[in-house]
Amino acid sequence: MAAGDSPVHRLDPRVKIVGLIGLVVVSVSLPPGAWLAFGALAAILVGLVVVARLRPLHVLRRMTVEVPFLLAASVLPFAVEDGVVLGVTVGAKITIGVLAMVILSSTTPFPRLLRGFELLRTPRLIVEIVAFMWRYLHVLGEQVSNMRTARAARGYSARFFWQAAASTGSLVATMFVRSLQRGERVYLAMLSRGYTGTMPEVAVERFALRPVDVSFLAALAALLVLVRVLLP
Amino acid sequence: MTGVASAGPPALELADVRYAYPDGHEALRGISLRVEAGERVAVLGPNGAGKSTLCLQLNGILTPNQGSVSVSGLRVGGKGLKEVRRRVGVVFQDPDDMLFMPTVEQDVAFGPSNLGLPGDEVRKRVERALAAVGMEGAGGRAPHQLSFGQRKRVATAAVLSMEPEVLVLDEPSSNLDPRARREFGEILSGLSQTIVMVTHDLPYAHEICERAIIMDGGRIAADGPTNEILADAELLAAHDLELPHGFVMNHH
Repeated sequence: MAAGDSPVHRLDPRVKIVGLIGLVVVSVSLPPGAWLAFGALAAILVGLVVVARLRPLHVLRRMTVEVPFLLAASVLPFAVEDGVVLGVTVGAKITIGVLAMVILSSTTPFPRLLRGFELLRTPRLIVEIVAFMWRYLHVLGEQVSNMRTARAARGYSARFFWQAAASTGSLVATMFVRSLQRGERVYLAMLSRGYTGTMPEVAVERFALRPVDVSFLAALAALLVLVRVLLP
Repeated sequence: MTGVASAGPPALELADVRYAYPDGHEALRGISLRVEAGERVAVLGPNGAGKSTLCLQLNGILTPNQGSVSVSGLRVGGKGLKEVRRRVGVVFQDPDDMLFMPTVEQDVAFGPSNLGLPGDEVRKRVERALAAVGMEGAGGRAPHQLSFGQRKRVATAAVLSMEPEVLVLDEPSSNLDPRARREFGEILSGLSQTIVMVTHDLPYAHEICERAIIMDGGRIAADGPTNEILADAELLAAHDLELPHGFVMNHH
């Protein structure tokens, strides 16, 4: 997902996370109708997409997660006074936030992203939970696809909604039990390797801010301040 | 290496170990076993014989209701638990149970980090352990990007990085394709650790271990050189063990 190599890919994950948060905060704090400022933020992000050599189609596809939010915002013009300006502003803020997240996640392998959050002193427990989820989603996904194949191999095809509901229900129940058992085995494996209730900080990969990381963050911060102070 | 005479205490010593699960099922009914340092022992037996329960006794995940387990003279249970788990590394059957960290190197570093070793030492151990299983260069990859055989090797590296004295393996050859099975066997044969290996794969036991024990009904039914045990057709049949069709034991 985050394969590829570019100056953006190579940036320290901490820099990218802080940059993203800064950009989103500025975007959210802008008043309605600050079109120039929204345009400037969008231009920064599109510039990053270009430098990172992300495929536009890939970016657009991943941005479809914002569709439900845009739909919600599209009610505004009919609901309140000055609704059109408000609606478009909300839409712009959503789009900028989502685009920034897509760039971050498309240029940073997930383990590095986690490590970045860890180094930024995100509560340990949250990082651990997300790490386990990410790891075992792949395992569970494989199990589900195996079970669906097994079901199809025995001639299963859902003709009506209630049939699909019944068999999917039992699939979910089986997955639940299996995950519970897996969790127990993982815990035993952890104990066997000296786990005592807190995850150790595993620092195999060295992270050091390079001059280019610092300059990127400084430049971005300067741009954001300019956008926020001068443009609205 | 059968009958290694070592001056120190045995790598593993079990004295009349009895264990029943909380539901009352008696899994071990008096196991006495002595394994010298450097020995390789295969644990054979039908399903439900208590083999996996025995594995979990060896590093203190389960503790006996009666009897005792010692690792190089250190009694399992109580204060020295952390040291016991450093000395005895368990490689579980399913590598997905063992590889829970986001990347291979973080996973291999998990054990040594738990031991509280400094970063440089952890890095060195990760490198050495990955090299020992032929997985150099895979450190930055995520477990789901590896084949099953590769994950098995990484799971073994994750235990080797703790530099254990005893390696316990639960069904090491299960689900491996013939080539991965052979390569993994070569890796195991090249290790200097004491090995206790639970397996249904009798030729594999013969290849790697010079000593075999047969467990049945929570007791040790036979204990001896692997080639003698496997050549005793009556003994094998009595405990639901079968050599693959066409496999003939040649006596040494």
